[in-house]
Amino acid sequence: MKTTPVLFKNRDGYKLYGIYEQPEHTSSDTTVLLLSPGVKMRVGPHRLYNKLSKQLVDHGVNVFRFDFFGLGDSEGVIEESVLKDVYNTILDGRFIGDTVDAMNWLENKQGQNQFILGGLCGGALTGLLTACEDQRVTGLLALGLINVFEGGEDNFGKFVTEGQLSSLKDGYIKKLTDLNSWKRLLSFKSDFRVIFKILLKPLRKLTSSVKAGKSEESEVTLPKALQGSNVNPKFAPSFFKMLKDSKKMLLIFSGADRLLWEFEEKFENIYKKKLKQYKGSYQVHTIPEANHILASRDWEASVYEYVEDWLSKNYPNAQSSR
Amino acid sequence: MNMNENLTVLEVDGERLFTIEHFPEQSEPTKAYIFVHPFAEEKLWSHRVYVTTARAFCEQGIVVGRFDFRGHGDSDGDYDEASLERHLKDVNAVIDHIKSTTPSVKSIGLFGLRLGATIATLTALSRNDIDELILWDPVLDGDRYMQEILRSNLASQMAIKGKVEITRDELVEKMKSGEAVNIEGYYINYNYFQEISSINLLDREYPENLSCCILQVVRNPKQPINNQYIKFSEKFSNNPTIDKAHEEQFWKEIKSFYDRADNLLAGSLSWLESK
Repeated sequence: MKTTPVLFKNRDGYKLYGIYEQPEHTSSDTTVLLLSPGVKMRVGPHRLYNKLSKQLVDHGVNVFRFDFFGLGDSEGVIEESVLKDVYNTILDGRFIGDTVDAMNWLENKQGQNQFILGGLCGGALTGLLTACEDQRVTGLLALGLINVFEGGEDNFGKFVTEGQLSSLKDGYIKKLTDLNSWKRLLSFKSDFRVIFKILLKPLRKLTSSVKAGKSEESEVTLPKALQGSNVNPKFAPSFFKMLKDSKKMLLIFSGADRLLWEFEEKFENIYKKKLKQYKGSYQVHTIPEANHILASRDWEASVYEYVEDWLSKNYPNAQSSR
Repeated sequence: MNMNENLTVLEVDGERLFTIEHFPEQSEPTKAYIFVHPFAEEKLWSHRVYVTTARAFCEQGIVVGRFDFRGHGDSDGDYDEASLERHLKDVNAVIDHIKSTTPSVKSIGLFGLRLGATIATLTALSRNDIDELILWDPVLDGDRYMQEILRSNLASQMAIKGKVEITRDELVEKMKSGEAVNIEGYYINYNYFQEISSINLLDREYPENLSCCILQVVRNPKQPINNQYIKFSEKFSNNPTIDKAHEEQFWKEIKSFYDRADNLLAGSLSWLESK
């Protein structure tokens, strides 16, 4: 693998640091940009991006990993002091400009003209928001794609998903025999909103089909069922624009990650009918038991398998001999 | 700010060591600091603080060399190949590189946080050209640190399985039998576990010419300085400084976005100025 450290300027004149990795003996006009997740830098948690990059380069495509403004080694200062606030600005598209500037650099300096945007969590969402607007991007490789804003623990009860409730239910049942839990309940320290939601779950199941029916009539704008929720209003329009433009998407979720439930409940279920017409246009895979950052070799291996298969099917000519 | 930073890839045992040098505006800098980073995910969470600290040191006329240990960041190698010897080789390579490429440098200091501070200290003991150490919350007792590391494996088991299926002792047995143990996606081998566990900085003797600034991170300003740190500072005869700095534990995931550690930085810069 050929590795080149890179310094390039974004549109505001700030220097951003990156690593450009290419196959040693072949050339390709396709570059995968692995976009930094959250506030972590271009290597990703437990160097997930370095390891994924090696797999991608072995497959024959180029990879570019870089640090956004104010993160990693790059120049700039992020003014927000609360992590959740930084995350939410990212989910609102803070780093779209940096991503476009990185593609401009790759196009002008490396002659690249076809891009796949990829990443974990906030990196994946930055990829989606950029990909739907930029013609040079032909695909999205998303790990733990996030469709909601960070409501955080402060609003846990308000935004909790059905999947999270199911996983919490057993814990609450066990607590019935725990004296301290009863003390918490009687001193109003428990999260009553979560408890009520668990108790009312069977009732909601009966009415959910009605709700879903109403939502399906809605356009890509936020349907009534999601108004006041923590859903990112930019998510659905961007996702459907990708589908409309026949751009390829591979979505990989971790089985033990709330983002899977958020995606299923606050996107797939809501837009069921609309998504039907695009059946087969995007792939969704779930890695059982995996956590948000895919911190195990087995889970990483599953990611590589899905990615390899997706690239082979969708980008059969990405690699050309030198 | 007009930065003069240089990306360099050094070679150690045929493997690449990713390095960034920060050069001050003055033409003949006389002092250099090598930044030794903490380990595994602590390195990532604290990375931005390292960057802003390096830039602040540089503004004071100091050359700074930052690097990724092999098995970390953009350097070659995997975490499960880690050994103390490899770590020391990596730091030494950066020190030697800075010395040879910036001949005006006459004084070399090492800076580190947590286990990075520990490795910085061991490096200083392994050669005779290190003049200063700035240590933020150094790990003095390697055994205790490694037990903490294993605890995070247990926490992961709880999160995924709802219970601890493999105890701490069983994890150690697994390592003994040659299997690396997963700590948040970083795999640790038994030799490394043993090497780090056997470190006790209080057991060592420190050269007379080595001066040291130890800054303990306290989450409550009223918290007293740790007795172990006081004992450690007493090992240095060259006017050691021990103080505390009110900061959050920014090497972990916390609610704040921590891109600079102002109190630690102020303590370090005022110590440097006093030299």
